[in-house]
Amino acid sequence: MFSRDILNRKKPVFKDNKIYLICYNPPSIYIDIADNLLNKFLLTGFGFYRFIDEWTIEDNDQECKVRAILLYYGLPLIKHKIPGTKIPNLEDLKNSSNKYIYYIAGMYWLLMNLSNVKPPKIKKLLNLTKKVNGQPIKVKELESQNLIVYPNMSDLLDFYNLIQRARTINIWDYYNWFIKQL
Amino acid sequence: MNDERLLIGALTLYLGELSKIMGGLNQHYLKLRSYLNSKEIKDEATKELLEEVIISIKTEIDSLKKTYKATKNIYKGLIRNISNEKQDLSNNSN
Repeated sequence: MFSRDILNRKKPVFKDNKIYLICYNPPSIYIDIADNLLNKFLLTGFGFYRFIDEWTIEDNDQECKVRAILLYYGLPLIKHKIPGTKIPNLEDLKNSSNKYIYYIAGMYWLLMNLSNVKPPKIKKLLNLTKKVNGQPIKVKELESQNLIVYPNMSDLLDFYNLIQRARTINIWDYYNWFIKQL
Repeated sequence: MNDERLLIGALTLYLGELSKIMGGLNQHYLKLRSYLNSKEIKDEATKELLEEVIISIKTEIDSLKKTYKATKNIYKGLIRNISNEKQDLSNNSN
């Protein structure tokens, strides 16, 4: 026979076989399903699979672990530093002497490493910090941390546009354009 | 308009755009360098991440500079050809 505790326990909302998206959107944090229509571009277009990590969240007053991508103002962070790599991570962010500069460096790193992503999708990624998608959640690893920064998104978008132009600029596009004008 | 003149027109626009991209990237590069040189950053992880990004941007700028230089030489060569042709034509007519 089940004990009263077990009978009263609510069914967990989060599933082991799903990948979630945790958006750090101060003062709240929101969780959503990563491969739903709205967020799927992050997995297919950006290849954020490598940022999937295990995070501890509070679900119906119980702690539970979920596999999720944590987006810190659009910057995916893994939980711990991987030695020998520069992959942005929460451990380094927490220990950084300037969280804003760590975030900016991380975003530039991300934007330099992305290829074939159209600028409107980058805008969509950066806009995720303004939108409230999914449900508010508590993430244990982010509790009592002062991680609020005020990033300049248009600066980042400008940088991405420049990098894309630098990598795709082609004399023949100008030549063909010239011919069309005749 | 012959092919040479078309190419000169296209090259002018291309060089202008390359210059704009280099200028824009250079501004971002300088901003990041100023972060790196500031005394605010005391931890190695932030420094290392910044350094990696700065090196990558510098590589992009250097590669654009090389393209710009090579293109500019082609451009100058074409201009020289055209002015020589003009000179020849005017000498012949005289």
